[in-house]
Amino acid sequence: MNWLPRDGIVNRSILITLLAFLVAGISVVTYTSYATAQRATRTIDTRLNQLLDTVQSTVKIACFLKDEDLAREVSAGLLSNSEVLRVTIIADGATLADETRENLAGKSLPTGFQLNTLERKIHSPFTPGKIVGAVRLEPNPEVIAAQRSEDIWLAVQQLAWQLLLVSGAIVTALIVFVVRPISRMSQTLHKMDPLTGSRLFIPPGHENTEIGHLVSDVNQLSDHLVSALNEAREARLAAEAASDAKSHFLANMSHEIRTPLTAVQGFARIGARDSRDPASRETFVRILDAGTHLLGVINDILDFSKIEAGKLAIENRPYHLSEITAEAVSLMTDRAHEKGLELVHRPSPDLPEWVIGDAMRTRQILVNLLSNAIKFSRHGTVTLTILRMEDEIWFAIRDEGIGMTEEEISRLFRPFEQADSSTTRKYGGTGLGLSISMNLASLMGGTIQVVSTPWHGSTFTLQLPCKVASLPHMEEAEASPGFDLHGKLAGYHILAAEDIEANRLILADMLDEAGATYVFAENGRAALEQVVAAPHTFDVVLMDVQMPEMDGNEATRRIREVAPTLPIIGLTAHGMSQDRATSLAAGMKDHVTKPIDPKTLITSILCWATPGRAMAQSATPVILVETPPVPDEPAPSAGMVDWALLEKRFKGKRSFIQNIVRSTLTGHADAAEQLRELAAKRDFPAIAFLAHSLKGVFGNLAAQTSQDLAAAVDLAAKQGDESCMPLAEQLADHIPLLYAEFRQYLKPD
Amino acid sequence: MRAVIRLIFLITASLLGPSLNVARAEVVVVVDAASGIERLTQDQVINIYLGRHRKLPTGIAALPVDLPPLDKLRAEFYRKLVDKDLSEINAYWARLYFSGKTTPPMQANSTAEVLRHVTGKAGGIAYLDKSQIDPRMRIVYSFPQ
Repeated sequence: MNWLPRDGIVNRSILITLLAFLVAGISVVTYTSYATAQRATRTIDTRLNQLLDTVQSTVKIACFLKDEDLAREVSAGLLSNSEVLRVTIIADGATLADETRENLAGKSLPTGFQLNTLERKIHSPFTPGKIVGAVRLEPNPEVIAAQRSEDIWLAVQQLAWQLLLVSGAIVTALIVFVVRPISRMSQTLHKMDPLTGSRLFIPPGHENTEIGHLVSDVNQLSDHLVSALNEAREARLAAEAASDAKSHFLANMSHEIRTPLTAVQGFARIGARDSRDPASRETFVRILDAGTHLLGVINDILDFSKIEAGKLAIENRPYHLSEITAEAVSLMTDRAHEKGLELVHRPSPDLPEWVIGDAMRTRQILVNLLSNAIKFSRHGTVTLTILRMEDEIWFAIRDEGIGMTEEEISRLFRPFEQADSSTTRKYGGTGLGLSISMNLASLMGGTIQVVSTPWHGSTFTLQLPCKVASLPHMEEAEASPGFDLHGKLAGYHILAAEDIEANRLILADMLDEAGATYVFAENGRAALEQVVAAPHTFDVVLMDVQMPEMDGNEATRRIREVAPTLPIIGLTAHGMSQDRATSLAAGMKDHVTKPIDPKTLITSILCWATPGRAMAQSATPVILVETPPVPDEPAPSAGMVDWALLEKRFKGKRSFIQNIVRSTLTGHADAAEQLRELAAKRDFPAIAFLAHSLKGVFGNLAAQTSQDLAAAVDLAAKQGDESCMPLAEQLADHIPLLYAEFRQYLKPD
Repeated sequence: MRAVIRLIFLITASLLGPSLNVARAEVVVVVDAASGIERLTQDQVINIYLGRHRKLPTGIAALPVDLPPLDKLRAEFYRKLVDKDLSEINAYWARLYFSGKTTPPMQANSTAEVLRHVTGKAGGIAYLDKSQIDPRMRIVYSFPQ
């Protein structure tokens, strides 16, 4: 039915009707043509006979007298009848008259028709039985042709009228009885809300028609559909609720397990550090190891449920590739040696130094693969080879262990599955590690390939896309490992809100080691009260999230109202990413997961808080205006930066310091101009924002004078003080001098 | 008695006289005795009188003559010749009057004129009662009894 018009029943019906009429027209014309010709043939024969009867007496006389004049007169009379084509009158063998019609139009008869010439013997008018002549009349075919055209024209006209009436009737009926109800139905259906559905009304008079039945059926279907949809939605909501409940359960369980574990780990660490007796130290180390293992299992389960819920977020930040791989190897070296295995780290020399990706997850996969390799080997070597393969990095972990069959490999990456269930008894493990690793790899856009020969060993290859980082970011640099905590937080005054005493002790131990001073609050309300009492006392607040009286998120919101610039770092046993999002939304700068890794915590504090904030804040801007030491001393090499302190702070990593300096020069290149512009516009919030960030940057780079000046501008801008403008100008004048010193430092000596 | 029978006969005869006369009259076709024509057929007579062929067998043009219109013998002649009434014969000629070339036979005003016509002209031909025939004329056709 492709040839039918695409739109509308009416159009299609009209087309079909037209076609039917076309066929009817052709047959009617053909039939009429023949019927007319036949009828006309009969009619003309009768007519000619009648004509002859009329003139017979005269013809008799003409023949009797052989009178040509009379014969011609009769002939002319006969020819005045259109049916007659030719008249011939013969008497005694002589032709009296032979007249033929002139002015023929040239119309011809349809083929297959033969007209008969009428011939009649003429008797003497006086002697019966005596033949005196004959008359021959030829019929005129044009009459028949004309008759035929007339009849056909009439038939066609009739047909046209019928067509008009019938198609009009069909169209009207279709529109009234079919199209309009259907399109009304369609409109209603179109507007129908899929959740509540809606009932179609049966058009009046259609109660017993197909339309009515269709409407009832559609209504029934719609009811089914709506109830099915509602059921599906309820089912989905139930499933979501169940999934939420599972997530919550996991989060809570992990919290419940992590909280005591934090205490266990913390005390074990203190014990291991402080024990004089080697045996006790060994015990503490074992507790620490067992705790670390338990933490690993919990992390695995949590990771797996996050991956399953699609809530695991992969970071894309620059990290130092060789440090990550070296770390993974060093983490596993002891275990390998315990089993008498050799662990070889073999990075290819053409590897990029910095790559973009998720350092933690990459390390997690490597550790997992290495630990599997060690777990399933009894002798030989475990090798981690790192290669650059075009735009991928391949981490190949080869062992000489028990190996696997093809069939075992195929089941390898399924959750809770190990090559053999007896393996679980023999080697332990949750069976989640490879499944998690595979999922993490694919989340990072990579994959894990396995090649194995039973009893000869396996090679697991992690293939990740290689995105080379151009310049390391400061934060990443600070987070890089090999970081000595000792004295790192010197000068920081910290408020720590933590409700569990054990955790407070561990936190105190860490902060002590890092050289910070601190005050504890037992819940959110206490922390808030401390901040309200002395808003400028603290450089940073460490905030446990789950606390009685007032939780960490609520306390954070309240503190932000009082001291908007005071950085707050969350501490939580919750490992779920939505908790992190909630905390950040409440106004926390960062979020550190328990058990607290000292390095992570200190890195975070260094990143977000500036030491001596309290001092800078308490100094009144007036004093700074009265004693403007910097503009009067435009000596570029005057030593605005304490390079010695800086190099000490970063353990003499000159290249690293240069990176920070470089990123400051590029990141805040036009800071002076911006300051002047904003001062001219008296845009206090923008000045405060810029001055605040400059304060942090200068603090990081041990430019004490610059930092103080920026802090003064920040404070004045926040208080809306008029002194802000001259201070901002001062800072703007000061910045080029500082940058000059920076550039000096970058110059190769 | 014979006289009485004769009287009755005479009375009857006088009463029925005219009809008896007609019945007794016998129409014959005559020509001039000197014309040299012995006999004519009925067709020849028809042809001559109704205009189809007006030539005598000798080749002379035939000149037919009709008795006056009211003459009973004229009606009898046509009745016997072509079985037509005089009105029919008149209609025939009337039709030919305007379009035809043929003319009706000459119209005589009296029997005497007929006699003169038939005896005086070559080709003259007439019909008469047999009693009126004299030796100048010759009967060329008589109707079968």
